[in-house]
Amino acid sequence: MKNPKPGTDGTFSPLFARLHQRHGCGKRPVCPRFWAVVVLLVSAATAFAQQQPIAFSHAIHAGQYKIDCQFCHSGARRSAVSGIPSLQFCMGCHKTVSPFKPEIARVRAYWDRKEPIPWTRVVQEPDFVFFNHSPHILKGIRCQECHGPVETMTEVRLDHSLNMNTCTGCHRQRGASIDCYTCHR
Amino acid sequence: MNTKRRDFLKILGIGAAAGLAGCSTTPPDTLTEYVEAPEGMVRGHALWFRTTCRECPAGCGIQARVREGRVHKVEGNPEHPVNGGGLCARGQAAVQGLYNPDRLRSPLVRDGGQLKPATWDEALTRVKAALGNGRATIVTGAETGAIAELASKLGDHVQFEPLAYEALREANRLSFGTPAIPVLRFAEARTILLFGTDAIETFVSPAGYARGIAEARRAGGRMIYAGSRMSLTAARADQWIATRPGAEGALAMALLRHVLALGGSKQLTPDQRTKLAGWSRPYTAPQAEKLARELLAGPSIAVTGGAASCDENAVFTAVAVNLLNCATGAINTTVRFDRSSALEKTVPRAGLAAALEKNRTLIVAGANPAYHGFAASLRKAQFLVALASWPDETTELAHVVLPVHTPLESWGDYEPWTGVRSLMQPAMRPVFDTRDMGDILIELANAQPRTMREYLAARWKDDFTAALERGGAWSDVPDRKVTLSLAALPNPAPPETPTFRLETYPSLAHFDGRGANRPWLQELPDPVVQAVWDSWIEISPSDAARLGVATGDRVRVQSKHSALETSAYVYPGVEPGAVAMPLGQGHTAFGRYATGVGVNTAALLDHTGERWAGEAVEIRLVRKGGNLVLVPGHNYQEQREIARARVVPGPVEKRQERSISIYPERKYTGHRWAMVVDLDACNGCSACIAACYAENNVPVVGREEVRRGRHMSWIRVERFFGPGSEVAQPFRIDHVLTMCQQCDNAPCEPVCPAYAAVHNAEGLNAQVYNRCVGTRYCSNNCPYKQRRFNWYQAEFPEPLDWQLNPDVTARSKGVMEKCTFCIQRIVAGKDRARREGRAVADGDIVPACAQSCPTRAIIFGDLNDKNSRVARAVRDPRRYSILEELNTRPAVTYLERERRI
Repeated sequence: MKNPKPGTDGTFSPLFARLHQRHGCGKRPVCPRFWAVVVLLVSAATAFAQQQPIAFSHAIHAGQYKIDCQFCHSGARRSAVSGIPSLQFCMGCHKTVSPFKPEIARVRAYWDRKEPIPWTRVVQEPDFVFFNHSPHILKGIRCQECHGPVETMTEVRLDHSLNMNTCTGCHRQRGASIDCYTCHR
Repeated sequence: MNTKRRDFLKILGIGAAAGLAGCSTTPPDTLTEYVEAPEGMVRGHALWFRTTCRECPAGCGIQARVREGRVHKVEGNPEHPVNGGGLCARGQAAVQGLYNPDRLRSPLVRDGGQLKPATWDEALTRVKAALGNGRATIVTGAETGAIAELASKLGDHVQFEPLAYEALREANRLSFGTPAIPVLRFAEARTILLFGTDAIETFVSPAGYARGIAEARRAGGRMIYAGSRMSLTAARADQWIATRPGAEGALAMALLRHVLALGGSKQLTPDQRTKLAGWSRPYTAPQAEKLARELLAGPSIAVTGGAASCDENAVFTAVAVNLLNCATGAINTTVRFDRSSALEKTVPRAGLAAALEKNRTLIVAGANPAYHGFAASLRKAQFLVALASWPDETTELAHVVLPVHTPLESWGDYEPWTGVRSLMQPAMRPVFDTRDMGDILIELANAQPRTMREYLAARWKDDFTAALERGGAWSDVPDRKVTLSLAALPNPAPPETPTFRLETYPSLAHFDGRGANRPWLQELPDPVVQAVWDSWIEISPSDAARLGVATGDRVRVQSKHSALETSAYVYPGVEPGAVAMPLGQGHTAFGRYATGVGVNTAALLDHTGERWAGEAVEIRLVRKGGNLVLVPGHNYQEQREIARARVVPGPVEKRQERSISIYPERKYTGHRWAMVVDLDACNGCSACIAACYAENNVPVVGREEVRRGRHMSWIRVERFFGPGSEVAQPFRIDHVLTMCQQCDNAPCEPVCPAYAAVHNAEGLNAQVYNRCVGTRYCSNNCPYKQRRFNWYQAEFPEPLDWQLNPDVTARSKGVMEKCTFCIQRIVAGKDRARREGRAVADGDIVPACAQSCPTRAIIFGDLNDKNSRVARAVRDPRRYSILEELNTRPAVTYLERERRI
C-alpha cells in the first residue's frame, strides 16, 4: 500500500486532498474512515480484478447468443479437461464476426503474432485431485452446477468454492462413487 | 500523527481483512492454449507415435505416449515382429535419454583447447572446411537404411558395435560359408540348449528371445544352460550345467558324439557323418547321452553366446554348436539364415582401430569409441566431429560437437533383420536446440532431398504413410538354406592356467555402457547381484575364502593391460577359478548420473581384440569393507516358500485350504481387481520395474539413500540363493516379483491413524496421499514390505520433470506410497468403457508392468468376470500366495515355477 504523497508545503496533493475532503472527514491529516476506504479499494482491486488479457464476456457468448458451452470447451465430453479453445478456434468466427471491435482487434493481434493469449486461470484444483469432466457431462450434469451461472458473467469468476465437500456431497446425493481412488491417485 | 487508539485498531482490523481478501489459496496461474491446435489432439488424451527403439541394436518396435506434446512413456509396439509388444528396461529408459538434464544444448567448438558453445552456422562451417581436406571416415553404430546410405555418401562408413559377436560370425563363415548371425526361432524349439548365451539379457535381441523362450516353455519346452557363471538366463533355465570356463565347446562336441551315436545325422552326408564322428570321438561329458536323447526327441536349438562366444575358444565353441545343430536338424529350422542381422555390417574392433589410424577427418555419429578404449586413436584424428545427444568420452575429444536429436525426436529407419524394416519418427518436438542426425548428414553430404523426412519419404515410397502408422513394414523373405561346408575343425586353444579367468558380461541395465546415464537404470537392482549404482567383481565362495575376501570388500583386479579397484561380491554362481564383472560403468564424462560410477571393466581387456572372456587376472584384497550398495533383501527363503518352484515331473503338492476368518467375508459387487504373476514365465529381467518408474513418477533416490534402505521402486525382483537358510545344492536361483499384494485383510489399513490407507470397493488398498501424515505405521505393519516412504522431496532436475505422468500425483516429502495396480489406468479404462457405452472388457486395463513384460508373465484383470484371463489363471493348480499363513488374502497370486528335469 502506498502512502499518499505529501505536498511540499505539508499538505496533500490537490487530487488527494479533494478525495479526502469528499470521502474522509476532511479535517485531520489522517482520518481512519479515509484510510479504510483506500485500503478496501486497493485490496478489492487486487482480489477481484480478473485482469484477463482480453475482456472476454461469457454473458455475450453463452448468455446473449446462446452458444453451447461445449462448442468452445469441446474437451469436456471427451476428456478429463474441458480445455479452452485455441486461438485459431476463436478466429474461426471472429474473422467475420465483429472483426473491428477493439477487443477483437486485440485477439487478432495475438493471432497475427502467433502468440497464445495468456488467460488467467479461474478454477484451479489441487494437484492431487484428478477431476474428469467427461463422465459428468455424459451423465447429463449441467456445467452450471459446478461452475455457476457463467452465462450471466461478463467476466468469469468462481461463484462458490469447489472443495471436496462440494464433490462428495453431490456424489453422495446421486449415489455416485465416493471411493478415494475416484479422484485421488 | 493524531490517531486515536480506537482508530488505529480499526485501521489494523480493516487492513488485516483486506490483506486476507487479497490472498487466494493458489497464486494466479496462466492458462496457455495452442494458437493452432494439432489435428486430432484433445487435451488430456494421449497420442501414440510408433517408432523404433535405438537403445541397443535389437531394433524393437516402440510406441511413444505423448500428452500435450510431450513424451511420457514408451511401450512396445504390439504389431512389431521383433518384440511383439514387450519392451526391456533399457527401452523404457529411452525417455530419460530424451529428457536427460545433461544433454548437449548447443553446438560446441574447440577454441584454445576448450570446448565452447557456438552457433550452428559456426560449427557447421568448421566441419565443412575440415571435410574439404580430403575423404573423411564416419563411424556410427549399427545402421542400415537412410543413415547408412548418407554416411557412405559422406565418406568411408565404419559401423562399430562393441558387442557384435565376431566369433559367432566367423564360425558361421567356416561352417556354412556365410558370416551371419542367424535368426533364432526359440518358440518352435522344445529343447533349448544355451552355451553361455545371455539370451534374455542382452544377446542380439533379448526382448524377442525372451518372448520366444517363454512360448517354448509354455508349450512344454525345456531350457538347459551350460556355462561357468549363473547369469540371469542360467537362473531361468531348467538345468544349469556348470562348465569349466572355456569348456563349453568340449561339451558341445561330447553331445555331438552322442547325438551321432544315437543316429542323429539329419542334415549330414555320410561323409560328413564319419568326419564328425572322428572329430567328436575324444570328447566326453557326464549326462551327455541323456541330453543328446533330449535334443533328438523334438525340435531343438543350440546357441552359443555370452562369455562362450568371446573367449579364446569362441570360434571352436561356435563351430561345435553349429555341428551339433546340424546333427540334430536344427539348422534351417530353428536356426535360420534367411534374414541377415544389421550387426553383420559392423567391423571388428581391429578394423575400427585400423580405420581410426588413417589420421584424417573423422565423424563419430551416435557411437562412443573413446569409452571402448579408442581414445588414443581418436586423439590422433586430424579433425574429430562428434554427433551426439549427450556429452560423453568421445565428445570430450572432439574438435566440433554437433548436438543431435535423441531417437525419440528423430526421423530415421532401421532394419534389424532383412525384411523387418522399422521406421523412426519424431514423437515430439526437440527439447533443445538440436538437429536431426539425418538432416546434418544430408547437409554435409549435400544430398537430396534436403530434409530427413523427405529423404525417408522418397526412400520408403508407397510404404511411408502406412509405416508411420504401423511403425514399419515387414515382409517375408525367400527361404534360404545353408549347408555344412566345414573343411577342418578349428583347433581349441591350448589350455591356460591363469590364477583367475575374467569373464565380462554386458550389464542388463547399461548394456555396453550406453545406458549408464539413465538414473532409472542406475537404480535398477541387478537381478542377480542386487547391486545399484556400481560395478563389482563376482568371486566364488571358495576363492573368496582363500583370498580372505567378503562381499563388499575392495579388491584390486590386475590384468596384463591394466588394473582397477572394485567391490567384491561373493557369488556361489560362479565357478572356482573364474571371476565375472559387468560392463557398462566407469564413465569419465557421461553426465552426472554415470560419471565416476563404478569402473570400466573393458579397460582390463585388449580393446582391439574380440576376447571379452578368459582374460587372465590377478586379484588382491585392498581393504576390508567398502561401499557396494545392495538393495535390502535376504539371500535365503528360510523355508517361507516365497519363490516356489516345483520339479516336474514330480508329485503335486496338495494345497491347503485358506485359513478361516471370524470376520465376514468382504463382498465385491462390481469389479475385483487381481493380478497373477506366472513365475514360470517371469525372467526377472526388470523391464516391469523401469516401466513402473515411468508410469508412476517413482523417484530415483540415489546411492546413499538406497544404502539406507530407501529404495523407492514399487516392484522388486527378489532373488534367493536357496529355499532354506543356505545356498541350494546344486546351486539355483529363484526369483519372485513382488509389489503391493493388495490384501483383502490388509495389515496396513487398520493401523493408519489418518485413514490414508483405506480399502476400496474394488479390492485395492488405496493410499490417499493427501491424507497421509507420514507416521509409517502401515509400512511397519506390512509383512511384504511393499510400502515406500518419501524421506525427501523427490528431485527431477529439468527437463527430467517433463517425463512425469500427468495422470499421477508426484508425491511429496513425508508421504507413503506403493503400487496402486496403476489406478490411473484402471480409472481411464472404466471411463473409456463408459464413454463407449459398454462394460469393461478383459484386457482393456493393462498396468504398466504387465504391458512391458516381454514374456507376458503378469496377468491383470477382474476376478468377478469369471471368464477373464486372471480368473482362469487363479484356478491354475500351480497357484499360491506369498505368506499365505498370515491370512492377508492378497489379490496378487503367483503361479509356481516349474523346473523340468
